[in-house]
Amino acid sequence: MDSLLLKTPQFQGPLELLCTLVQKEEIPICELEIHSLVLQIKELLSCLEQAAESIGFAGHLLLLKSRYLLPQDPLAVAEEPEGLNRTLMENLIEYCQFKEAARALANREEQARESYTRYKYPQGEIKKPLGIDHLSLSDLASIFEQILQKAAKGRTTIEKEEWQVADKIEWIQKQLETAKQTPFETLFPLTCSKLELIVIFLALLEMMKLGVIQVGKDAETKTILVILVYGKERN
Amino acid sequence: MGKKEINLFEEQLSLPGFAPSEREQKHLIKKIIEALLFASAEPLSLQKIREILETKISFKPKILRDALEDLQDEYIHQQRAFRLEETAEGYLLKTCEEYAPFIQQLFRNKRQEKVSQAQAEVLAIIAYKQPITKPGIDAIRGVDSSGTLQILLERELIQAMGRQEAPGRPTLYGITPHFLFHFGLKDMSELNLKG
Repeated sequence: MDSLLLKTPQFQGPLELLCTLVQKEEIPICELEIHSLVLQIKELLSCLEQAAESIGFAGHLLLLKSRYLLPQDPLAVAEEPEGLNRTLMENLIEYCQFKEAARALANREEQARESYTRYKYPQGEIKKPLGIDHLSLSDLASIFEQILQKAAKGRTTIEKEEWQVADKIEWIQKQLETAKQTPFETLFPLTCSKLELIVIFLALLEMMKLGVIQVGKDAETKTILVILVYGKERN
Repeated sequence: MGKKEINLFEEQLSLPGFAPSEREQKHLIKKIIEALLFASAEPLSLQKIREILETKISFKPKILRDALEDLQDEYIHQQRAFRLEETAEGYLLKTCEEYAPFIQQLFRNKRQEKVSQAQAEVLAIIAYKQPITKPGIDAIRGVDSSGTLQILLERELIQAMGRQEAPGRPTLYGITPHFLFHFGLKDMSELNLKG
């Protein structure tokens, strides 16, 4: 996408460059006629994305100019507006750098697309399992019983420890971080005490309620899977 | 390598006293790496190649890099239609650019979408500032990035890397190994795009 090319008495070129130059104080903001700039931009606009960007830049220019024109409040601490101005400029310069980096990335992408490999792209979505509807409470209960039975065999020591659902939720999340989905049983280590198993089970139920995970049957193997719900990593 | 060669190789493996010359060994290792690269659907790291080889043969670590470099040169000298490249922290076979128009025909409709301008911007910010929160990204861009972030997460170009110890515990984002592949980058250090 080409940038808008503007013409003013002091400057000729894309709007972004003008913005950068103004920030660097190479073009005095007081001499810029924002009104004529805006008219030019309005005339040149062709697409929406471009529009959003131009409005952003023009807005920044306007802000800088209004700051310049408005009388400084004599009561305000002298340093403050200057500091504000600087961070604004820094932000703008930084943003321009990121725009540059984004362009560089796009170029790299263009290059990379010219070569083909056997690389398997992520499918974006994990193959949908059958879902919770195919599971009854008794199914869940029976697996849990199986796990308890297995666990009963290999027990040797008795330890007193307190297990918390919150800890287990964190732990389960960690387990799912890389794999995204895992068979139900793997979340119940055989070395756990009965109480711990119960807490893990409660944690799973809690996470299902929160919508962080889904439990479902794999369509092919009929094993019960715990699946991390995609994109639920929000605040 | 021919059938005879493979037999020789098998013999070498089974005879502990038999020490092949370094040249012979490198030749074998080169062929094995070539086969691995040919079959692999993801960039093979040096570490991974070493692990695989070490299950069957013992060799000097230096040979591995030499063999890879040799392969790289060979493909260029023999003017193969593909080359060996280091991408996304591993080695991968890639077809040369001049054949793109033909391969495009093969993969019609199956190509990966290019990232949009907004996506590239958010990616650039995350790549340089990671780990960074959504408010952090929004502050730089001056617009809301939720939608873009969601798409990037789905495309596995970025990932959640934990949460910031701050009010609201906002999620921190960082780039993925897949990001490196998508942009044909060797590793993070190649990201010196910023002017």
